[in-house]
Amino acid sequence: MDDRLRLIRYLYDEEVDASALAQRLSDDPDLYREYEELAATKRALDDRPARQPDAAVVDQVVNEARTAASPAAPPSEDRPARAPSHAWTRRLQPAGAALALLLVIGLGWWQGDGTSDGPAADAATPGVIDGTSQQAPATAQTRSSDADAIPAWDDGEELIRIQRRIDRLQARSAPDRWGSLQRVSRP
Amino acid sequence: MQPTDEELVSAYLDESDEQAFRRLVERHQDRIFGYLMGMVKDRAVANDLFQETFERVIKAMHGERGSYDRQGQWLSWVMSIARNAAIDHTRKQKKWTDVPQDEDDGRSFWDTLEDDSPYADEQLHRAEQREWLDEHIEQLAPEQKEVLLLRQETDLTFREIAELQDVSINTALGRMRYALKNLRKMMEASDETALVGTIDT
Repeated sequence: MDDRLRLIRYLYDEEVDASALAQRLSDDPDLYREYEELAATKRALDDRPARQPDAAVVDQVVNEARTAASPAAPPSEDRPARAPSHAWTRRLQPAGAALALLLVIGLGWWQGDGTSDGPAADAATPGVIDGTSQQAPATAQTRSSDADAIPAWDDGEELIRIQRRIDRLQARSAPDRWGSLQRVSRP
Repeated sequence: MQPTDEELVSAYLDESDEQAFRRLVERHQDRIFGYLMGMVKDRAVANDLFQETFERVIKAMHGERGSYDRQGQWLSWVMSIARNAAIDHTRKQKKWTDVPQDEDDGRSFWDTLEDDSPYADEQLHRAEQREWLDEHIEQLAPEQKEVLLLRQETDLTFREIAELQDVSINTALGRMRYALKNLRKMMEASDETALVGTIDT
């Protein structure tokens, strides 16, 4: 392995042959200069304060672990929000598809049946046809623009995140966070 | 003597000892959260991802989703899940780049309250230093940034990082070397020379 890569392992106390590398450092001024620079950068990184998650988040994680460890126990009120189960909708999907297919076939059959009445049937309702022909494109256009305006949420993850934040804020502002009131004894 | 991670895992799985699980979380929370914060730069999102990571971890430990083989290295296994959660989030964010993000720095209302403790100045200085370094880390190439965060925040070995990223150990070491060198250059080029002096001494 290249000495400069070994230097990185040495910095992080992972170099197995540290004494040999220390010797190389004393022999090679360029390598030593690089070591000094890297070590200074590492010291700056080491000096950064650690960051911790919110205590409420840790509590929620532990609550979830408790629930998972005892599946027979009823879920607690503080249980964090979970993604909704879509299992039943998945089960209904084939039935829905079959129903939609039947509907399309039925519409096709009905349309075919309607046109088979001949020109008399078409001529019988010209006013209605004219009226709908003026309104239909406008309605379709409105529906299309409405659909564009709605963001394409591909899952409920954003909602879950919002719910979690609400849960955390509620946990933070819970009265027992402030500790119970102490009784003052008067002489 | 402190119980090992594996002993705590066994206590939780075999004896339903929730305190053992809490100890595991608390033992490694700085590392996991530090990595997630470095990746997403938003405290609220990092909290979400931290919780999401442990939801996946708990499910996998109980064999509901994926599995945990109990062959040691619990932290590196959890880190692989945290990494996937961060990557999933980053991918989703790319789809929503036109949506403005929160303008704050991820701090909650409670964090913004003034601290009048005697250590407030010291804490402020350290927070500023952290913020200044984080800005530089953010400018690194993504693969350099990730190796740096994994090694510096989570304390995984370079071999574990190489396995996590599916690269050779030399590649991981090379990325770390460039990360440190580039960071050094940025620090030197920065106007905050006084801070560099403070850090180096």
